[in-house]
Amino acid sequence: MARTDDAPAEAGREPDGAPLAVECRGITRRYAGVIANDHVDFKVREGEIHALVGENGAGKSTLMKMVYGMEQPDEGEILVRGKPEKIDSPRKAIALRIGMVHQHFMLVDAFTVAENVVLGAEPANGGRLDLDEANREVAELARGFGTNLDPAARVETLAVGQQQRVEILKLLYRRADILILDEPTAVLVPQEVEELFQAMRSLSQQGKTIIFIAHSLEEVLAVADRITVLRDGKVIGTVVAADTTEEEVAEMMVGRPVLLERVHGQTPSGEPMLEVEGLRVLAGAREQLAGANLTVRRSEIYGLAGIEGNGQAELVEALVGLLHPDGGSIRLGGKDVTRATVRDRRELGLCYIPEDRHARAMVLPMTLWENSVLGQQERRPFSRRGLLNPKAMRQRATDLVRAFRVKAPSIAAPAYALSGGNQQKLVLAREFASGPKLLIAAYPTRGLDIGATEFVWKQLVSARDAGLAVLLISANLEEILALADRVGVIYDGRITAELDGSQATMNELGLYMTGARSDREPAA
Amino acid sequence: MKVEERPPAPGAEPPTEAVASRVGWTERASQLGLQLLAPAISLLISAVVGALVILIVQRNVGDLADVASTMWDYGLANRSAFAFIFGRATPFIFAGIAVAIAFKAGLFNIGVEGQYAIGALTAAIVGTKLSAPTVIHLPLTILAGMAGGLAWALIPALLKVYRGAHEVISTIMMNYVANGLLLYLLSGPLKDTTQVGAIAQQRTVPVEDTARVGSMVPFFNSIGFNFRGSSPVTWLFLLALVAAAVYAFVVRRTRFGFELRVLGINPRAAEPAGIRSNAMMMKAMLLSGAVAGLAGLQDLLGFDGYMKLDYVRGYGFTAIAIALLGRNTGIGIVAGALLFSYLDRASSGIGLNTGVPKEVTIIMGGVIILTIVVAYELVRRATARRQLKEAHERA
Amino acid sequence: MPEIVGQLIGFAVIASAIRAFVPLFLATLGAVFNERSGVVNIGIDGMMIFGTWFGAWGALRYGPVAGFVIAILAGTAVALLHAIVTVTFRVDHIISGVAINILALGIPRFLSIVAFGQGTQSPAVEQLPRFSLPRLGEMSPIVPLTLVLGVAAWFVLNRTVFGLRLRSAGENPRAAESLGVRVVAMRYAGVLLSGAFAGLAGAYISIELVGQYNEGMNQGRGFIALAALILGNWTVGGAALASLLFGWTEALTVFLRVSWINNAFIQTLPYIVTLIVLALFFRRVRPPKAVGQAYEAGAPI
Repeated sequence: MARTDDAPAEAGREPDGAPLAVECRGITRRYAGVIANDHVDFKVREGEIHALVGENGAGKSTLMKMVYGMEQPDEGEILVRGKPEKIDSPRKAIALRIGMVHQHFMLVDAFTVAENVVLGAEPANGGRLDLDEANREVAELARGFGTNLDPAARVETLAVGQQQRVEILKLLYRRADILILDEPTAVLVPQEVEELFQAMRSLSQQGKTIIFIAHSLEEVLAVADRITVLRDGKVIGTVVAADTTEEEVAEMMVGRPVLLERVHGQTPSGEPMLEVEGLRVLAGAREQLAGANLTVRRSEIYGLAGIEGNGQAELVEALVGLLHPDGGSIRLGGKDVTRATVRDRRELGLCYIPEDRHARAMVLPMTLWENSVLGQQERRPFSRRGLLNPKAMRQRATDLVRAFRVKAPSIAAPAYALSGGNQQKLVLAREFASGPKLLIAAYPTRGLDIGATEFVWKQLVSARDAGLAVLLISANLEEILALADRVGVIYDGRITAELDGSQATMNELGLYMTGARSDREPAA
Repeated sequence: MKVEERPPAPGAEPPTEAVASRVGWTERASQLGLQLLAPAISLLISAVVGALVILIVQRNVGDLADVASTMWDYGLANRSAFAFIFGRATPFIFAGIAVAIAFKAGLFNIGVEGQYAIGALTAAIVGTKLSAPTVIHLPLTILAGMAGGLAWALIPALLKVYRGAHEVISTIMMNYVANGLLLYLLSGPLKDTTQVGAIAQQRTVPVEDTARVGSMVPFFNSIGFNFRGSSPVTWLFLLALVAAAVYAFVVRRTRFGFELRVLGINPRAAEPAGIRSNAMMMKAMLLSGAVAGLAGLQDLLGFDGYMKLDYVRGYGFTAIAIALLGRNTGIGIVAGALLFSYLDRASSGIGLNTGVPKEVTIIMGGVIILTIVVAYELVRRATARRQLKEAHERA
Repeated sequence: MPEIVGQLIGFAVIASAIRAFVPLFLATLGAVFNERSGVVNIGIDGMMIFGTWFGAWGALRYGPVAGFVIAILAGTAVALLHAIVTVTFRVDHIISGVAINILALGIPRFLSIVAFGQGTQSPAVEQLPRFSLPRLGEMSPIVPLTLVLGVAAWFVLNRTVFGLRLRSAGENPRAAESLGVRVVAMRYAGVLLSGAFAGLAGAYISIELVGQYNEGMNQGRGFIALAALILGNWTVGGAALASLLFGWTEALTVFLRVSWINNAFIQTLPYIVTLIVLALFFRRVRPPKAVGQAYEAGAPI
């Protein structure tokens, strides 16, 4: 391992003379009492691929947003190609030829590829948009980048990998030579990731500087030249990728060894709790779910892997009762619930941790004690003959907060006063308290840091060990492989494979997830 | 940036924190202060704007003093001022509750206007066509008013739930259709043909005495007020206060109210919690219409005694302001209704006693609405920011 | 020709439909701009009402051309209020719009008393010089101007840099901002244009259609324009067709006389047609993605 030393050097150069593309000096950024970046010093050499790693909340995105002008540092300065610059807007960053691909794509779905690429820097004659010129330039850029994109195609019709290409084209169109990629692999399957890395390497060979925010250490070591680790808003160090190991970087990230081990069931799985047969959901003429078959047993975690948009959302909504399927059947504990209301399914023991807890599991302006019974408000003792019992509701909230160690100022505080991890804990606690038999957890650790993630995982495992049937939907293959007893892959509205959790590998899952293989579909 | 909880240090589990189950009194008082700050700012700005308008238009400081003294002398200090304020507040409270019920479910009922007009019409039909003793006739007439309002809210509610049509546009369209219906009925089938006098009005025959509502003046005078006998306040004022209390109870202490709030604040969380949003929207809109149907009854059963063509009197629009000002709480609506009722009273005083157009109070009402929404938004942000900060400091 | 056909599509009806089309289409064009920029403007009706008053007042004092200019400025000023409340203070767009509509009930009456000596109407005002069309009769010069404005609006929205950026603010403001588009400025522009169009539409009603200001003369046309916006799927061409439909129904209220329908109901025809349009088309259309959503420049993502 070779940490670069911090001896003073000529502005814009490393001590060894290498020119710097970006240099952050003593950057500090505070949010309402939290320090997101604490005197960060960060140097990126021209033409390198520099990975920025750290846990959720370590301050990576904040630092990059300041480099891209979306936020301003409270202290410190940023030098671009050796010159101190006040980057007070993305507009300024673009002028400095800095570009950023955000984790959540920033594309206008209703616009064409060309319109998306040129927006903000349009070819024009005195205010009149020159769309032909835009199409021509974009097509040319795409070819130079080794990709075939129709500039006139609407972005909403493109696949995720192609949309990412559009994002990169946006930067190239603006002649950016410092490219910031915020977790670009999070939305891709392993095969697409390899294509992206090839593109990154070719850009780097063309002299572009790439800053790349990442989670997965394997990926980082595969593509990056150097790696900077952030923890709690501070820089822990910068290492050369060729001279380090995954374990070393992981320890720098969390300050302790990380354990991502498989946790498989102690008890054999029992009788079927959830049986789904030939489930179909139509959206207009398109089949979002095209006859999905699925069985989840007691004392089992069934992990459902897949690229988002392959029918997971529709499956979950149909299981919970939020939409009516156009065909097929759903049985819960042996009872047909295909047409049952949400309330009836909940009474039969279904509980649900939605993908977006802010939007679907909580009412943020309402108090914790009100949120603590959401979904169970019709049960005794929380209400009786239509009248609420606030005393019982408060008692329940106090119990939940204690049992799950939710950090909350008071149970009378509004839910938005809690951090994301604590909100998720409260949701878990509430759903577990409802006396469930089947738990449907959609992306339960999304947006959580490692500590909270571990907590959620432990809860899922102990639920499984207590005899619950758990359906875990996740885009995170590490999570699926760590937890699931059985793994299903959903592709294009069908379960195309079912594998034993202890046998499945990431690459194998990737093949099924992209539709390259589909030979292990479970029978109806 | 999402601020996430830090992972606990390995091996050292944090001690279980004692969790306060209630907010302390000082905290509550400061919250209440913040809540009252917004209306206070809003009232102040509207007074300033009102004064500026008078100064700009009249160019005379004397007028300003006239208006101010009239607003006090005639608006409040006058012998019967409060009777007038209570009386006018009655339809405002009903209409305000109607708007607030819809607001609570995340809906905008701009059709209160048409709903109470139709409610008054159906009440007038029952009041004129039926004959029964008061104990039967009056409640039936009032129920008929509610049924009329409910019926008029039914179409926008159905369009919303089954066709997704935005209720703001559809309820306003229903207001215009209500006007057409009134015009047709009051100039045709329901017109009182026995009227004497040179100009026959487009109105119904008088409602039976058994369906009329009595004056509340004797009661007020028996508890120490000194209202003129003809002062316009009826027992429907009491019904309005009861309605506000029931509304507040339902919203805060019933499961229906709980589910209504969940739906209104975060509709996407409602369905997963087993709340059927379509059914709730339907109920809320119909309930809103039914309560709206009460707003026209005081004019019909207390004062005029017959249904006239001019029954679309703007209560529904004022009610939106009242509900916003009162933050959809029962007591807030009553307070807001009294305030706007006072502005009305002051308005007639200004018209009688000064050279300033009395419509200056309408401007003040409008300014209150615009500033109150901005002020509440700013206060909300300030509170949210403070609470977030406190949460982080604690964490 | 049977009488009923004449009542439905006779030249007099067509001429009347064109006259009714003008304010509806102008207001709908305004709505296209504010909605495509991401702001809902329920207050368009109120802005039209201000247009009717200031148009009449301006025409009375300085002549009809000045009346139009003053009405446009008044509509824009009210729109500025809406933009400040919704874009800068990020208050719910519908609440702000409703507040503006309530202001439009009170302020013109106050102003009428001050300016005209009575609350509900103005004296007759001078109108713009007419031109004549074969069979359709006399027309206001605002009619061809409206068609020109329609074409211009289409061009600006779909073929200019400004239009592309304005639309991006209504579809995905974050993406737009990340590319250096000034979302707040675009939304202000959309709302102010909407106010200008509404003011022009209002002035046309008072100066050209009626020749004086009357309280309530706008008759909810702003809301019908919002229905036309939906029916026209947020496009300029669609807005033109939808406004023609509504203009025609408005003309029918004057010309259609059917023995078995009371005239009071024929008067409500535009509103009933609006309800039917909402019922049939609301779900089939594609509104701008971010319309009605508050947007905070530079806010954490």
